Amino acid sequence: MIRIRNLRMTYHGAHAEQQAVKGVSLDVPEGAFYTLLGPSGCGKTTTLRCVAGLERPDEGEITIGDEVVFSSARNIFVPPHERNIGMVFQSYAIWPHMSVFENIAFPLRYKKPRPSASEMRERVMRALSLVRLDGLQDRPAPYLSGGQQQRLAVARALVAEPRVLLLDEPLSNLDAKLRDEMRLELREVVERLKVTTLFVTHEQIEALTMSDTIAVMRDGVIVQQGAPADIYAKPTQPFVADFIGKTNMINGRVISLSGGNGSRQASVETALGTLQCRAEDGVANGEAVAVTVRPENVALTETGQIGIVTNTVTGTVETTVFLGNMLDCIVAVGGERLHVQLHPSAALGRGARVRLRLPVEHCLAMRR
Amino acid sequence: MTALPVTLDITRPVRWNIDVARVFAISIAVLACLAVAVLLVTILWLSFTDGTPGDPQLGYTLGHYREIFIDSFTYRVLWNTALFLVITLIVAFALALPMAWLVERTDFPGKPIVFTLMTVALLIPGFAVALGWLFLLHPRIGLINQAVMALFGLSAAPFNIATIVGMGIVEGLSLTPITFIMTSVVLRSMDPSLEEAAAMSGAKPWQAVVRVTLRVLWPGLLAAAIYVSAICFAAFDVPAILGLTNRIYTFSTYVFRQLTPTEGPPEYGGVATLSMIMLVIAIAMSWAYRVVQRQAPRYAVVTGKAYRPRIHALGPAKAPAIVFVVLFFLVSQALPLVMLGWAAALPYLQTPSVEALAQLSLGNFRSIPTELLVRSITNTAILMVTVPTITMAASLAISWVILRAGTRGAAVLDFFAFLPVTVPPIVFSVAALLLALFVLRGVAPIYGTIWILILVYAIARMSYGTRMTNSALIQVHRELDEAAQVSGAGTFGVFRAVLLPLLAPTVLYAWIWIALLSFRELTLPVVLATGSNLPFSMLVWSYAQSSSYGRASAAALIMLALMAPILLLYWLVARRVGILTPR
Amino acid sequence: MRSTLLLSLLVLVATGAASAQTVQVTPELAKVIEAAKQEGKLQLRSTTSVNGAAEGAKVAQDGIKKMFGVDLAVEWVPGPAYAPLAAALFQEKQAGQPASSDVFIATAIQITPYLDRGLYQQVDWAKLLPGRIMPDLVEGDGKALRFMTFLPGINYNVKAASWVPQITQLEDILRPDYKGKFVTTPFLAGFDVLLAQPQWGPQKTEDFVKRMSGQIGGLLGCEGEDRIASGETPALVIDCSGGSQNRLRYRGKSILDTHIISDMAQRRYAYMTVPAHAPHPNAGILYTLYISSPEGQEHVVWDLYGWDLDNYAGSHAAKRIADMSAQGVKFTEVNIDWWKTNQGVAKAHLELTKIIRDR
Repeated sequence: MIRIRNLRMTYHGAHAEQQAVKGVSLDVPEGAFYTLLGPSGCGKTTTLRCVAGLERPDEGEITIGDEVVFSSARNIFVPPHERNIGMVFQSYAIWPHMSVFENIAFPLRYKKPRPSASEMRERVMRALSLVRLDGLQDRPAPYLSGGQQQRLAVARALVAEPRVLLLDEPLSNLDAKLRDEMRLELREVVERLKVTTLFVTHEQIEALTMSDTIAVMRDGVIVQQGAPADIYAKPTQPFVADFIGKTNMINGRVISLSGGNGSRQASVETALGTLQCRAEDGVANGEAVAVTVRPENVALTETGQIGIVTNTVTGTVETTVFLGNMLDCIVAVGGERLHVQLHPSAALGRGARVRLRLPVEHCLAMRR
Repeated sequence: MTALPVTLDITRPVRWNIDVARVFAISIAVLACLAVAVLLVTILWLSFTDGTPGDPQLGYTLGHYREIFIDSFTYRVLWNTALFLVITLIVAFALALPMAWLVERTDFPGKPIVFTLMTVALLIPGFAVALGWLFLLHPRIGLINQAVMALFGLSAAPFNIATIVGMGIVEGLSLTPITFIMTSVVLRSMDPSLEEAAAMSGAKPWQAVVRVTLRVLWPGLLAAAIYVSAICFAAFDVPAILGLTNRIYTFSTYVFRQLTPTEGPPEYGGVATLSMIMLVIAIAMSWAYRVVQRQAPRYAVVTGKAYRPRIHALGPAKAPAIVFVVLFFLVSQALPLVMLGWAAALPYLQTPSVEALAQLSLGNFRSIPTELLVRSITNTAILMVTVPTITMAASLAISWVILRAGTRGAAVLDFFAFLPVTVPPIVFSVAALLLALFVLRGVAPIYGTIWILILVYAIARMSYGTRMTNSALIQVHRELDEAAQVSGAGTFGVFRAVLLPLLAPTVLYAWIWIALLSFRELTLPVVLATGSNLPFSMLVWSYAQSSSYGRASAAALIMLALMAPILLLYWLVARRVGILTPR
Repeated sequence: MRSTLLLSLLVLVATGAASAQTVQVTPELAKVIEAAKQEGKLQLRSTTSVNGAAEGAKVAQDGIKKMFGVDLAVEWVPGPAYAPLAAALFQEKQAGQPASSDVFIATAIQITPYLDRGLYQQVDWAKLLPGRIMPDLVEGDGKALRFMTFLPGINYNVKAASWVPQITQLEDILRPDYKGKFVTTPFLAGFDVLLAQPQWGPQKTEDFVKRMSGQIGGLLGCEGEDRIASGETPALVIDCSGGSQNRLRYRGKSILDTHIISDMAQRRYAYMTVPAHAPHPNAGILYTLYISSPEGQEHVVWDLYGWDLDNYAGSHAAKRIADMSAQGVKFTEVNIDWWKTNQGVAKAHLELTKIIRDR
């Protein structure tokens, strides 16, 4: 549905020129939920705004459906009001001088052919119930709460049945509980309407829970693209691994490799001792690598178990934080500090000696 | 990834990708700024001419610039103007600042009344106030002088209003209302937590004021001072009424004198040269103003987080404070008006006596010919409706181009839009007059018609208009535009459906303000009103200039009476916009 | 008895019929009247003292209707004094614009410089109103028509400046006790005759003006009689027309008077001209004719401006001149010819004005 090829865009600021997008290409299939994830300044919002037509890229090609909406080679630029899209802004951009009804009805007034007054009313009411704002149609828009305004923005973006929905960090201004609620609701609405969605966020939890595909961006390029589970479990570079969820990274050197592509195994010499782990395809023998392991995958073992189990280390607990559903610990092991999440019943205090096991299948060595 | 074949959408016709609304807005903006530029270039050109424009033997010279610096009279005029300015500022701030403080920071009662009275006072024309004070403090005929002389048996009048100091005091009184409004806005927007922190640190209230409040406020106060200085510098009516007869000249009256010589054609060259120098000084001042503005602490844009200012209780000081404010209004506004009434009812000014009372009549009112009255009022009405409309339309276009169009070099437009305020109005009129006479006659015969007045008034007000629309448009988040764009609205649709409704209160307020200023405008028509295009203010002035003070006073009173309904309208709108009452 | 009554009735009817058109219409005049009817309008631009300004315009409108049977909308607009007005009209001509006044009124000083620059039309006034307008009233090659005699002197407030009648010669005003008690005009009206007088001459006049500059309390324009009446500027040395005390406003009220100083006694003339680029020239001509008529002279010029033309028999100005001449006062006649033959005076006079303009 959305096709981007070789998108390049530079900001001509007052002080300096800043390259915001340095060659981005992606495909969003029809009906899919595609997320651009990354830290601030990575170019994700710029890319989204290029798709919307609110920025004019320097180079590249953008296609929505069958229509080329931007092409630098052929000098095509379709202005935003002719792209038949819906967009939810970070600030919601609710028009304060209009009521809820008028805000939602706005896109319908510009739709060609223009719907009749009764049809317009029907569609607005439908959009209202879609986002569960029934009954509020006559309220002046500024009198809504933050969460209500966000839903209003969504209703407005969808009422004209656009072929594409663009969302620019729509949840970042909500408090934690509302955010959780809205994540689910948004996903549900999008699925029900089967509308192609391009979503921009810096929150990896949103990306992981809502997306069909995630593209992690950094410094204007996409560094990894894939399904959430893949991104999470198989990051291809330290940056991605660190950005998506918290992870431990233990530096070491490969001393042996085995197995073919897709199922490599390595032995890595680290400060914690020799660790067995999976290895990325490009890792070579003798190479400096980082062994990554998620805190929730580190297990507590009983001391005094018979036999030496692979990847077992001993360390001292430095800090523990009780988070209700887990115990978040920092354990000093051989000069490194491991971040470990354990079951809340583990009665550990500062200074306690523990034995931890790093399961091989959850350890991944990647090039540093 | 390889580029996948893309099909062209052949069902959609090929369009010329021209955004009509955008082109229209840019054209208006450029046209308006071009008008300003043309006028200024005319003045520059004049400063080099030797002779009269239109004369085939016109020569060119740098002599004027040399003469200006050599001629000691120029320095005397500048010195007079500087002294005039300083005294005006002292008087205006000495009165306005305490009153603004009382209204914004204490529990002074009846604040909306004070604001309303200030706005009414603001719109009383300067020459009306000057006339009133002339009747009070002139060394020979001033009533106060005569009363004091009689009381103390003096032989010479103790007070003389016909001096630079006197003129400065009258102008200061006349400008106190605008100073009040500007300083109260500054006081209003200060974060009270700064003062509270000072109080917590043990500072006494007056120490907090000096160390914290004034320190924070000085950029805003300085900005107000610069703005008032610009108005004062260009002031014409007070120096004309009080100074011309006594050969005391400030800049505007000096220019006026040069333009109405006793023999021969006006000396445009010298006037234009002096204006160019003034322009350079004024641009320097406005540059300083911008620097000051940038250094000012960022005042939060209104987003709903309203500052609750720290209110001091006046306690025993309340009564004297009320007396002070009441006295101000009585002395500075009511008293001159009473004098106007007295002068208007007499054939010539006399001290109150039995004979004088016997001569009271409406003769002066009746001797103003009806036809002339109707004509001048009609002209003023036309001006009051067309000028603000044109100005605000141009200002909206300019602000939109600067803030939304994303074109390079929009800052140039802003510079030109601001320039008119730096040019003394009388100089603008001269340039416009010459342009209309010689250049435009074939293209647009506006000389002697109301159109030349409309255009010059509109250009002169553009600075104010664009300041208002700029600050209003800045406060509208860009995403509101973009949301409309992605919802299907083109440039014009965004403007009509989103920008215009949100800007409407400010635009309406500025519209009425400009209408009121057009009503009392005098300096511009002095040069430009050559025939039946004279506005009402010009009628008052021509009587005053001909020393027919009785009829001038009568005409001035009629003018004030006519202002009343418009003032009411202004007051209603200002209240709605929220300018009148402190938060 | 009855025959007397009948006779009186007949006379009444005859005069009534005659007064409907009291003027003898020559063919030239008939053409002017026709053209004026087409024009239908007359715009007069001047200061508020000239010919009664708006009031005078109304009187003139009624008078023209009565005299010529023409309905003219006579409009008065405020304008600058004689000299700046001449400059403005000339500028309009250079710019190819219609004149902002259909009739330009001024004295020889302001009119003469523009005589050869095509500012005025030539009008054969003597032919238009034969019997009333004599050829010697028309000056400047038929371009200017005399209509009023100025008899300038010290225009003063009778109560506030009671010292004025004691002035016998001009030097007297330099006495120390008069310092600051009088003003003068910015264009030193009337001082030009001193420059041409053998007893004075340029050097002595310049010295005098320099000393006077330190004596005066300020400057006042020609139409400032209200300020004299109020006492603000109690005496004007010397004024322009010398007739403010005669205007209806002040006549008989013993507030103002004009004291003629013997060494400066002069008869100056005020003229009417029709600008070459006047938009309603024929209406303008009718106006000048009306002003020259006995009615116009009495109701507009004498009542509202202060004097009339001494050339007309029985005029108030002629009487005044006769009275003063009987006392031995010699009046210098300042007209266009005088000004032309005394060209050097113009330049010197201009230099003098620069002395008093600034403090």
